Amino acid sequence: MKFNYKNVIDNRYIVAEDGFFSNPEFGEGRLLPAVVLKSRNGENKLQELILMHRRMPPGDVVIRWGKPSNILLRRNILYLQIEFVQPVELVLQIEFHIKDQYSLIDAIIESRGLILSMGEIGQKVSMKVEAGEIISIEVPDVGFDSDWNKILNKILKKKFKKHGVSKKQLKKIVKDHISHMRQILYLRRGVD
Amino acid sequence: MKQVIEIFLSNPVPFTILGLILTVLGLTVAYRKLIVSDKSLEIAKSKFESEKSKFNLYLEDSFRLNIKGNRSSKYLLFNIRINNFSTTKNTFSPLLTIEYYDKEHTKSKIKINHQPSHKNKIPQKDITIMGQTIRIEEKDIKSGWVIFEQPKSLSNKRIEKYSVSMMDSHKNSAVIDTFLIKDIVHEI
Repeated sequence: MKFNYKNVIDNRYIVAEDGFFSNPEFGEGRLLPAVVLKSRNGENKLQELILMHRRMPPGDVVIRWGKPSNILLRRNILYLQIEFVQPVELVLQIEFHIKDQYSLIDAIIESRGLILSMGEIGQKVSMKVEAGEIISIEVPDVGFDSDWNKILNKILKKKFKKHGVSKKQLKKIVKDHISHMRQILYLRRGVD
Repeated sequence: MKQVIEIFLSNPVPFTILGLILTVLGLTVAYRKLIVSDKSLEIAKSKFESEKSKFNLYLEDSFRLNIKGNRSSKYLLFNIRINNFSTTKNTFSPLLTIEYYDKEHTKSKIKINHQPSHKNKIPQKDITIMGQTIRIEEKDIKSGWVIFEQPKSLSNKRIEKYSVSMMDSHKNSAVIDTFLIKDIVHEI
């Protein structure tokens, strides 16, 4: 469910790099979005947690999606709060800029999972995979899906209007775009 | 003729008025003709403009798919959209140019054609890959994926830029550059 950012522990991370990762023994072999995170306040607890688990699931995790408390000034922001409960306790929020990162947010919601790693801008997902410095978490449906679909439709309509798409074509173009965007997630294994 | 001149000289006013009326009528007709020809020129111009090739190219997403297995290969996938603003149909051909630095640190370029058959080599079987030539109806929009195989010779080179270009049947082209490309690591 949505949370009010005012009432949570402020431990924000931004997405330095993103991509996807799939492995037959990882998240049931599905393609999962992967993020390389950078702490806003220089905290290093997530890295410790990643190194402790290395590719293994990190135990109990509670997920929430949320908007900033001052929504008028920060309309474009969306948070994914991740609360690691056991064995290590850690609460963090990943900050997303909806207009620029809607395809990443959508991939997390659609795939129901996320690969986490820590690093700097320029440190690609493939580098983190090579180093084994990743953990996977499940992102279950917490009642945010329908809200997200409305947000996504709204921003895409606005974007395409700016690109000169007529009102008549708008609905179809948005639908096509969402469908093409999500196609990257659906894999069939056993190929050459 | 002599009689007409005599009548005119003895009573010139009605003839002058008649002459004036005829002149005004002539001028009015000429003016109207000018307006009509101006309008038809304007219509022809706008028709020419709307029929002229006019399109925009947008890049929605770009990925490098690393398939790790027996035969490691890399494919470059771009989710693109073409808006055809023209009132005539058009066809487009995609091309990828990769700018990279070779061993001597000099900038080089390599051009690669979009190859729809690569779809069979990637695990995303249901992806909408655009044809080798993309046909778009008048005032229509088409979106989908284009796919290129990254040459193995580039595996240890520093890539500077990827440029996806679209050339239409009138040899007009649009280019989109991207410096950032997201990784998809697929372990078999």
